[in-house]
Amino acid sequence: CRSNVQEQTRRQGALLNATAQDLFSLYLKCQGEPFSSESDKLCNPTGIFFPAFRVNRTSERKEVMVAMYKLFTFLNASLGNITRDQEELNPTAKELLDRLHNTTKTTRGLISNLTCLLCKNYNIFQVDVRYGESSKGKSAFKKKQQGCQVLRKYVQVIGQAARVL
Amino acid sequence: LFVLLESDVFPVTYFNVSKDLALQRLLVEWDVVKSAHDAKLAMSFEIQVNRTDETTSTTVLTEYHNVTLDKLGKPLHWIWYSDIPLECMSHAVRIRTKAETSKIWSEWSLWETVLGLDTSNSSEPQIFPSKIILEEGSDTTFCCIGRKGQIIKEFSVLPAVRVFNRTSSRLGLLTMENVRHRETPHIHVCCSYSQDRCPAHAAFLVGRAPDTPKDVSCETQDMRIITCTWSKGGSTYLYGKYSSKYTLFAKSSQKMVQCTQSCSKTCACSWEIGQQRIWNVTVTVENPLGKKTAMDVFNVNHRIYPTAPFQVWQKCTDTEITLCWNYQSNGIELFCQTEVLHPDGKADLHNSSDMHSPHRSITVGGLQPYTEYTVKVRCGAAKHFWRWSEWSEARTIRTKEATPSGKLDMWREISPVLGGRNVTLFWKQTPGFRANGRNISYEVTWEKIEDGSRPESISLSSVYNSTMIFIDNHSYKISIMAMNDVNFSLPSVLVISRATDNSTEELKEEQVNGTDDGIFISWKPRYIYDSYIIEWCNFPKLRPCDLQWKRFGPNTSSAVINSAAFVPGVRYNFHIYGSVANRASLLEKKTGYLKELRPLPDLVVDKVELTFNAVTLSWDSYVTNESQPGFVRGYHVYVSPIQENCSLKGSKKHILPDNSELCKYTIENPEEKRYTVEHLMSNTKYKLGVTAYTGGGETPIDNFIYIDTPYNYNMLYFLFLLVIVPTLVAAICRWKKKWVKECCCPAIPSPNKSKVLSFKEFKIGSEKVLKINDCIPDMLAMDNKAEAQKL
Repeated sequence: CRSNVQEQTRRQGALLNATAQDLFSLYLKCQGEPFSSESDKLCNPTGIFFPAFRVNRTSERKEVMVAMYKLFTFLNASLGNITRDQEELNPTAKELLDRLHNTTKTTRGLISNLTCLLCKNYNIFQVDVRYGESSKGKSAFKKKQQGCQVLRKYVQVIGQAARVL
Repeated sequence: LFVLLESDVFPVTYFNVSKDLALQRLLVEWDVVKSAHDAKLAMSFEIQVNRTDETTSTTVLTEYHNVTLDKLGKPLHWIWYSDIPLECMSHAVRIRTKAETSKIWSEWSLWETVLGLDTSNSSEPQIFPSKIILEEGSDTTFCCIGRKGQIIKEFSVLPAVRVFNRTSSRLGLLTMENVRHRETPHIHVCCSYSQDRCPAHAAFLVGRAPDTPKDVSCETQDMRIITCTWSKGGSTYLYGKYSSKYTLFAKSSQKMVQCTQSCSKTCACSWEIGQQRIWNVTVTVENPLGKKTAMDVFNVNHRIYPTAPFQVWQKCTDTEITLCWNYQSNGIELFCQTEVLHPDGKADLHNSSDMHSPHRSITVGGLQPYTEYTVKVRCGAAKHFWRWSEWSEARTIRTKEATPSGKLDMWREISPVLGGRNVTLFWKQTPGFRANGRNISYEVTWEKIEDGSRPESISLSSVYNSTMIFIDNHSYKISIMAMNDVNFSLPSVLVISRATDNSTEELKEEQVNGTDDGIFISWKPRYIYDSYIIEWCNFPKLRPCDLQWKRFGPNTSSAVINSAAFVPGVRYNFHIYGSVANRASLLEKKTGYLKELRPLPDLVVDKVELTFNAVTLSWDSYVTNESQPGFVRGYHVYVSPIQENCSLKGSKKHILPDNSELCKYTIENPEEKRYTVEHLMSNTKYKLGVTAYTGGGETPIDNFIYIDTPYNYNMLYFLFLLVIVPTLVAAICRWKKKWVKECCCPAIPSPNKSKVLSFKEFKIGSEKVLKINDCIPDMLAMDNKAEAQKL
């Protein structure tokens, strides 16, 4: 691992936290009505899977690392789906697509650092990750809705994660 | 032989209805008896379409379809496009027939029903149509079908638009007219059994069918590969997998080519043509909403777009440039064009004529010496010209030097000095003068005319435009030539006459006027002169004054002189010369302003002479010469009104900005610097002012003089003499009237009244006799006269 991997990981978490709300707001705007005005109803994440994040600063560091890994690996896959769907449904929404790409890049960097830390500090080489349902084959509306549900939950969880890092 | 009776009917023998959900249409197929086919009957078919929901059944269409049957006996077909999704409701079709020659219709067939969607197992309502893309501008009806027993409570479009909505029990219908594309690409439709939840949504894209490909153009540069290009039309608002796909299909007698393009950046396809020359090209564009085609048919020999010429080189003289180049002909005869760009931006095109020489070249003449030109060349097919190639690389060439062309314009300023004259020569390049070379210098030569003595000369570099020489009092011929590395220009000549002792008659200076374009000068034409010269100084108050001159032809007698140095308020002096055989004579003098300004400084009255009824104002020190910023044309004298009006001769009313009145007198002679205002009232205050004026205005009326006219003592004296003195005298006389009377008009004594006779009367006869002792004499006088002695 690089010498500053801890600091870098913390900064990556802070960056994701700082940009999450804007990403979500822009996503809603680009989907159009009724997403812009009824996001509370439509984007309620209760219907989807999202990895639990039940650690805090007092938790054992190893547990924290594993929970982080599961969270960000899930997020990376979800962002991939969302980006793919938005490239099809909103190909002219350049700013949204750029933000999705940037968030995905930061997430991948964070995953890389977490992988290194798990391996080096805790000798953990494999973590079982559960991914959500793919949006492939679903209707346009369902794709949009699934994306906003994931992003809404992401906004809620990333703040916790950034504080713990 | 088949005999048709009016009563014959031909019912359908076969009848089938199917649905095409992709295109939302019903396909109806039927047939009649073979005998009708054999007889090739002309038949009419009446077709009805019925639409049924849970509660109602409605006939939506009745149509007549006329067909002449053929012997082949094939079934007949009819298609109906539904305006609402077929999934939403059941549709039924029936048909009946009639031969055209018959009057009787057959019985209706049974209704053939195509059911709507059975949603009995679906927990959520379903929205149709299932197609994702709607065409912009179309009217679309959406429907929402719920489970049996459920009522549709919420069915709407977002973003909200005006729609027509009909909802009954488990079926909701919603019609959007003139569907428009919006900022976000999707329209969402929501359908629900309750009003606060919306479990069924559908997202639709609104797009357009593609435009026909425009500007399809095919050409070759090497007779080996042909490239076709075209341009897309407007946006269809459909992207990704729904975006337009372009397919080019090219066919010749022996070859076929297909090429598919998304036209993301450029729309072009290329292929090798081999020996095929005639091609038929079709470009087709297609998206989910439509398909369009454009075509081009051409002979490759007529579509040659050559490559740009290369290996360009050049040679030149002073007036010609020869350009040579090479090009890739590929066996094609080409024809080339050269562009010559002049320094002033003008571009000339020249076509080359000789295309058969191994070196392609062109010579362009009529150019200016020592001048930079930029040249380039392009080529096109000589036969069946299609388009020019790109331009070759541009070359910049400077033509060679030549003799300076045109002449210099020379002028002089002569100052007499002891023993002769200092002559300052000035010169400038005329509009027709060209240096035609790099290094320019000037050679000035002067020689005495009378004795033919050896001329003197000096050479000056191009930085100079004037010089001073000394000549004696003889006549001289002065010439100037421009010189470059090649040769001299033609000389410009001036002749200065011998100095004469007689002073020339002083010419009177006339005033001239400025205009918006300059100072207007005119002069009397004299037919002996072949040109006129006007000379002036740009900065008359400076030394040197920047002498300027301008020449005019013999038929000119006026001009407007302008200079960037001309400013308002400065007096410029102009000398007009006539020239014959290069000898100039002063003819007239003019002076004027571009624009006159009001005089400076403010006028101050030097002296005020006051009497009881007049005041004389003097301002002798006021300057009226060329130091003024305008011609002083006179003065205005302002006086406060006499007896409250300005009725005196020469007086006009003048209202000041504070609305007070003054009487204004005008003096139109600038040399008259004294004025007397008369008819003033004595013992009265007056306000006076004097201003000077030019064509540009007058000095301000600020410096008022306030006077009090004195009493008129003469009048007093007169009054005193005329009135007071007689009155006094009369009073004294009255007071001493007795004295006055006795003094002035004493009574003539009457003896009867005399005192002497007051005594007791003693009469002797009628005479009264005075007794001596009755009178006390005042005085005794001895009278020795004889008479007395007799007594």
